[in-house]
Amino acid sequence: MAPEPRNRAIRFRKVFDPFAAHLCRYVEGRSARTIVERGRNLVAAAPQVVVPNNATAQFIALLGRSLRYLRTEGEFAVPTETVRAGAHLTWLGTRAEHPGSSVVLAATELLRRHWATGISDLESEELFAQLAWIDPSGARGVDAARAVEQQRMTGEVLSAGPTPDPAWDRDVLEPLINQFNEARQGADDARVIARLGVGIVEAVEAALRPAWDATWRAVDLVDSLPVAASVGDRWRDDRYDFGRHAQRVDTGEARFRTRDSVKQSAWMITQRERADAALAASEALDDPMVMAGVIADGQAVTGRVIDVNPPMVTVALAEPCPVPEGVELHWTELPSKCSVEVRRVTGDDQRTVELETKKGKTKYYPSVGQRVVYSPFNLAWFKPPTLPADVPWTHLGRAGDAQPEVPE
Amino acid sequence: MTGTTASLDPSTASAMVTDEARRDLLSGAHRAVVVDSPPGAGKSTFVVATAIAVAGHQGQTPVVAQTNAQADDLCRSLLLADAALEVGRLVGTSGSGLARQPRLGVERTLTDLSHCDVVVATAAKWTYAAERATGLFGIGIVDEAYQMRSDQLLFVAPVFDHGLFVGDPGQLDPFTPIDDSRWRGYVEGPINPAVATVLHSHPASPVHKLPVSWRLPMRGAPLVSEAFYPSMPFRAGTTEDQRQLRVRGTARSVLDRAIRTAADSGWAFLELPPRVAPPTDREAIETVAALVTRLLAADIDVHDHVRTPASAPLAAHRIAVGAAHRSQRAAIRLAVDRHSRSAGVDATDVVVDTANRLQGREYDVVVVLHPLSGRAAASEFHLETGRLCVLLLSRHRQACIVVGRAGIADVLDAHPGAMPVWLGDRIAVPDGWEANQVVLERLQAVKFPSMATAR
Repeated sequence: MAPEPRNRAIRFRKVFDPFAAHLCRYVEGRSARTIVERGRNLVAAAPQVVVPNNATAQFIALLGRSLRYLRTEGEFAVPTETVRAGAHLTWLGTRAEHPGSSVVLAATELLRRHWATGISDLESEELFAQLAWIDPSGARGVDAARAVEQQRMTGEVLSAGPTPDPAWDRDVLEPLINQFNEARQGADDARVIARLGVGIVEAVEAALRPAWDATWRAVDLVDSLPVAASVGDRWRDDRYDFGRHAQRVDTGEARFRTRDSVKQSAWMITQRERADAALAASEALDDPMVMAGVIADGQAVTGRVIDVNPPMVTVALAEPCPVPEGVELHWTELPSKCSVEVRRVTGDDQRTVELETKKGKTKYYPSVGQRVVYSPFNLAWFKPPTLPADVPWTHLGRAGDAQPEVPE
Repeated sequence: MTGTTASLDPSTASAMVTDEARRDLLSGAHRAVVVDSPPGAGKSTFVVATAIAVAGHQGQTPVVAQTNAQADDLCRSLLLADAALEVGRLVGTSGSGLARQPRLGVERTLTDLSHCDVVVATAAKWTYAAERATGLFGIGIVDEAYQMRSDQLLFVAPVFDHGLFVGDPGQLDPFTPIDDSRWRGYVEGPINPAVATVLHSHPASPVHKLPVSWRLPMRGAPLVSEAFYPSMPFRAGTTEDQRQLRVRGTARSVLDRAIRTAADSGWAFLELPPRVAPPTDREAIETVAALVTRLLAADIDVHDHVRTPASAPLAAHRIAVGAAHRSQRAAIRLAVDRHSRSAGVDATDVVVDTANRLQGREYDVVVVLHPLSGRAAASEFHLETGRLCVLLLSRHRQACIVVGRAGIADVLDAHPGAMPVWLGDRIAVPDGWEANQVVLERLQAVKFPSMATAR
């Protein structure tokens, strides 16, 4: 911890350099072990960073960007680990944006994904409040959350980061720092700093401790849930991407642009949209509660099979059929192998739906009386389109449009 | 560029713009030519005629549509427009609603369509075909270009060297379900509409604006033009006499008065008491159903000078009900069927659908359930849905009746802008918030306070 972070020497010596060395040890330790899986060499595990909230998660990429371009020689040189840590943080920050990735987890997001509370998404970014609702230790969730919000207002509970609390800054931190600076009289050697900075270190630790504990509490809560079937696949994607990053760092090719090029952003958005669709599908197919939401939203239908006459399947629904005729759906039992098209909705209250089997019409049918769900989700993989070799004329034109590439 | 066309008669004004655009395109002097089209301005006709002209000029011509339904519609129009034309429909795994027929090939690869004059496919399909078709064509045509995303255009553009981009700038901008903050503020960002990217890269490209809506009646065009097309005003192509809704023998009920007003002024607004309600707001949906039933039961003649005979009773299939949400679609369908059955009229053919599925269609009378009706707060999404109004409010040839709860303006006024501002970001025109307010203001003059029309 840096008692005076505005001093560059103290900031790097006390925070960035030790943190970087620690991070490199952890991240590079993870890439050391590889296993052969599905015929390819894959790192055994990717690194995983858990932070209290989304704002902190976003800070990771920013920190990475501030470290990755530093010099390792000459004036203001930093250890090579610090620059490498910048590369790792940049990778973590970018990967964190990939839907379904779990290399960076914000505790608030993690809880929100698995529990429903009465607080809005915006409000639930306050980790202590959301946690109090979910885990109220005896009280009612709503009361516990309200009590925490009250304490946040009065300053009894501080923010879980990364934005500091102005009142705490003014009333606690500032006097301590002033005191520290007066005492050290411009000195910045390690022993003096360590001795004089004790009070600041204690105050900051006390302020950060609740966020640390709350984050671990969130992790414990999520750990108590059963693991979803599709988690392994998504974690494998993370491991694959991490393996490539580790290799680029090893061979000195880990370069990052400050701005994505046209081709890069087109590729990235394609990949992310595919991952997002796959995540939505997997979540719904893994978790009946998620699927219930999809059904309530009118995207999927559920009911009992009353007639099977290939290729037609007739289902009696509990609600009027919300899915219009002509729409393609997939049987949740065989989401990649059996698709149907809504052919006709009949009955006085539109509760009988006739489905024409398209994909898998020779073999895959439910039996009469069976409860079925047909959803818009399938898990079939399809080849992504190939990026053009050159940026086409529509995206080029005016001179000076090309983005400069900033090497690491 | 487009001169002033306001003094010309609508057909001449329209033809002047389309001729000029086609000349610009075929001259080869520009990499890109853009044609902006308000609703019902003959965009499809223009795309079809231009595709045929380009095919005559260069041989096989690619057309990029945005959805399979749009691509199918284009193929049908192409076949009708030219009895000698060979049309190719390039499809992916999701296929097409069209079957092979004489002069129409439906195939998965370009090679199988090599004999065709025009090849139509969705942007998604061209994305995959582009790899083998790079530099294959001189001129390509992109339909609904404001709905196409810049990143998709990146995949597709290598196929042709010059492009005609035709679209409706008043519609919703393309979007992505993922977090796009990484690229916000990039002028060439992947989420920008394709047209914006092309105009950024080639700022001297000619932009033509179709000046006349042939669909919207004289009484309907001003509201839509003012609210959704502030930067490209347009007018109706028909006169008051050429389009009329003749209502006879109606009573003094609120519904009948609203119908009469809609017939006279082109619009009516049935306003229910303020209440926060779920999307399937029962009272609102019952009101919509009662209104549709009344439209069918009342003695209404539609006069439209291009039809033979020019006057005929209002038919069920010429009425549509538009809603913002899928759950509303199902609930309205049920309510319409129930109401019409007890009134002894046949509403089977009345079209009930969500805004995006009504796109490109037209009806005589459209009943709209306002997207912000009954909402407690307007989220950014719902303001966008407000822009979605343009889809709902521009489908009619005669009249449009809006049903909604009181207090929509208050919800809009109380809407906090919580979205960050991005430096360099495109400014969406029209602004969803403002477009909503303009519509509501104009509807005040034709407002009918309605108690719940429960059965």
